Amino acid sequence: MLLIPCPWCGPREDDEFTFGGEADIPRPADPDALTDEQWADYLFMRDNRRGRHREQWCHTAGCRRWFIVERDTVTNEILGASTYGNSS
Amino acid sequence: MSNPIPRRSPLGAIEPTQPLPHEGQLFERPFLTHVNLRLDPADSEALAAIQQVLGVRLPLTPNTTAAGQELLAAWLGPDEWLLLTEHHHPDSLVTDLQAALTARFASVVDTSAGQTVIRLSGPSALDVLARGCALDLHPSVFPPGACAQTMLARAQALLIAVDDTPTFDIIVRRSFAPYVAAWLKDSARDFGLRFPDSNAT
Repeated sequence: MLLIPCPWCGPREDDEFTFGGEADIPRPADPDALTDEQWADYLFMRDNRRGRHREQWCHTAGCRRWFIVERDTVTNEILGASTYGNSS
Repeated sequence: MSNPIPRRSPLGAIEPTQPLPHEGQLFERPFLTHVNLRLDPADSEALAAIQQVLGVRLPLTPNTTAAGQELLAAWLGPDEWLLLTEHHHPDSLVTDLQAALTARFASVVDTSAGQTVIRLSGPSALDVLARGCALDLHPSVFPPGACAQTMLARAQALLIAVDDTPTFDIIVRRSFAPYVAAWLKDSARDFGLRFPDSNAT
């Protein structure tokens, strides 16, 4: 079990959360200008990093906010959590 | 004009339990007004307008409630609250809030029919809840006035600490209410709460 520190609600068990995959992947500003390959890369390709990994979680059963967690994918150690800047 | 349809609460069959006083109580608080309110917490004018209507300042601290004379406001998210009251009709409360929030980026939704409140009270309430909830609900960390949305016996629930008997209000979706009530009764039996046979679920 992971104990995930929600930036608003504090540490809660992972049952309450939904995983949202790798963080920091911005949506292309002009999708129509992309080739199919570039679009597929945006949609599907992820790094599957070993070690420190920034990923998105949603506190589904709590405050229902998305935020970013940094987790070590080897040890499952949670290294921190942060919000998306000005979003709420 | 039309035949009034008698309203039914989600747990209409569950009467207040009548155990010995020291054993605690488990009962539904039916037909309360529940209103979900969303607005930008940085909009201080909107917050002030809401305070005028509600007579209570919306709590901005996560997982806390603010109680007024007639109404309880519970924090659900950084921009979301649940308003609970028995003194306002849902329609009039929604109308008043909408009037106060005209031309603002906000949302007011009457959820009264979609959820219900189960009250659990008694010295063993912590033990009853601990069987299905991972949160530490001891009054030293979850004092009266605290609230938390979490999982209770695998159902999503909003827990509100009412007093340090301890007493909790458990707010669940209508469709989960019979299950959660049955689970609570089952959990509570081992801690001395007794239920009349007619209320067996």
